[in-house]
Amino acid sequence: MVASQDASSAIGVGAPGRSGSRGLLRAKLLVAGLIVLALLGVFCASLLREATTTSRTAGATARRPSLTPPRPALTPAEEAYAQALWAIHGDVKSAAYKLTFSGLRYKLKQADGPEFGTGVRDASKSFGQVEARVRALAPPPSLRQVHAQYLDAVHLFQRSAAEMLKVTADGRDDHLLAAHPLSQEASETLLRVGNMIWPGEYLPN
Amino acid sequence: MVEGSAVVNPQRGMKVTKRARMSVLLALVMVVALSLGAPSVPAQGPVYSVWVVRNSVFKDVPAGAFMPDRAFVPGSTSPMNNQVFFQLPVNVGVIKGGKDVILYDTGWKQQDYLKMTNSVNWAPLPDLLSRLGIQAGDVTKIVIGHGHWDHAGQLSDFPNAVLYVQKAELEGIQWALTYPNPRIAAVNTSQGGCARTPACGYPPLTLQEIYGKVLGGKAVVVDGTMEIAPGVIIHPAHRAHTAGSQLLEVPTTIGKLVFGSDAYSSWEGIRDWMIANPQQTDTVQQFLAYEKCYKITGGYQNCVAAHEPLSYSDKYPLTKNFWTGPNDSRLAEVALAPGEKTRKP
Repeated sequence: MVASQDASSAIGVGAPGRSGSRGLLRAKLLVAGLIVLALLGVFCASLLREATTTSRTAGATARRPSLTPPRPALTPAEEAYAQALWAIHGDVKSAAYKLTFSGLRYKLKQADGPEFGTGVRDASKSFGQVEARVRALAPPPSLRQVHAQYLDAVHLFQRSAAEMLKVTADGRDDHLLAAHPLSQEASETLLRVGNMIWPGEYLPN
Repeated sequence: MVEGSAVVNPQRGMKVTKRARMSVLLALVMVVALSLGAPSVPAQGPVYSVWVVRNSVFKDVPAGAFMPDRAFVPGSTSPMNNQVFFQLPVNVGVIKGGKDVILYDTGWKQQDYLKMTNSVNWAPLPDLLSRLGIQAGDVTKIVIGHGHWDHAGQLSDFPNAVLYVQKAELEGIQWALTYPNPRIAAVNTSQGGCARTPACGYPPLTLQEIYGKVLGGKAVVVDGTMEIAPGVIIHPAHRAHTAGSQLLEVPTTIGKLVFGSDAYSSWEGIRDWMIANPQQTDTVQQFLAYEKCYKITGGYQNCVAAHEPLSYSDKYPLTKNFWTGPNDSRLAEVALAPGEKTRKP
């Protein structure tokens, strides 16, 4: 406190006397006023932020829309088929990825011809194996069309792989262009089947 | 201490005291400025017009699944933990300037075979663009923040656009698919739900679309940073959401914007430093991606989030100038380049 008084008196070194003291007082009041104003500003900003946070969360909760009615549940027979096909589905997708990345890496010159050929042949072999496993399933009557669609998708992938393999024979990239729509259609079909029996296969990412 | 003391030397003390006052005032002004949000850094050089459009809404996503720090706690009165669900928009950035129309992300395309349970208000991206006076064929470039199905869909709807994807994104998917442990390599993690294994968010069709761009000679595989138009810069944000996530810096009349896709899933997350949408996320990398926006734009206001629940409201100021489009979609005018007319009806 003493130090403060001394320090304050130092301000008036050039203007001693009563008028100097008044000037000093005014300056002190000005500084104090500015500080109070600044603090009020901080306080108001904090209040504003707090208020918007509170209303935001409350509003979001209140606006929550009602859920759409769920689709009818699968019957036990349908559920059994869906589970059996799901076990194969992972392998189908893995083979599809192998096919895609073989072409992708080849086009990006990250893989040479032999590596490309090996990848496509591996994928083709996998599709052959999964086709046999899918054929071994016995779908319930209500899912026979889904079953047929799934087999069609596997066949399309096989045709796509066969087309891609021609590149290894003649080195012409247009085989890749011809193969692509086949894989594209097969990929769409996988989603179409999934929409029927695995409706939540892909979650928001 | 003695030398600088106002008590010992009145003349010197006067100077020090004035300086001290100025410092206090300056500090207070800075505190007030910071509390109101740091101002954006004005853009230099060319500036672009920017809109953000909502491609769809994912309904009722559990709060804790989106932001772990905000998991619902029954009975809690805290705004942090009293929400059960979030309604998540799927936002797409539209950037126009010079000869370019650039999309940042392309959302996803609803089909009869891809309805997505619990999604509403899906609108075709070409339809949304037409509300901005832009045709699908006008799009020259597409930058995907990452390759997940709900951000890199419908690429083939934009036949003239060159795709920009990070090399690390493609390598990350291949790494996961060939990993020896099937738990890591899994593409089906449980019946009826492909969750958080590294390759799960990429349906074969999405990768086919990326491959289609490569086959058509319409793809650039980016390795790190790249300027794709004057002032428009891709920044890598690897592992901030997926292996090859990337940000996009865009200069505008309101300062620089940084688009973040799912590295910036939540704008509130960026503002309050909370992770969001942790799929294949390294949370430190996500925070570093947040920091990148602070560094480039001077704060958090100009960070463009892909799934911010507050989008298209005053509470996410960047998107507050919005209107309603087809199927109750949303379009927000974020910034207009000089000479560009507003698209808001």
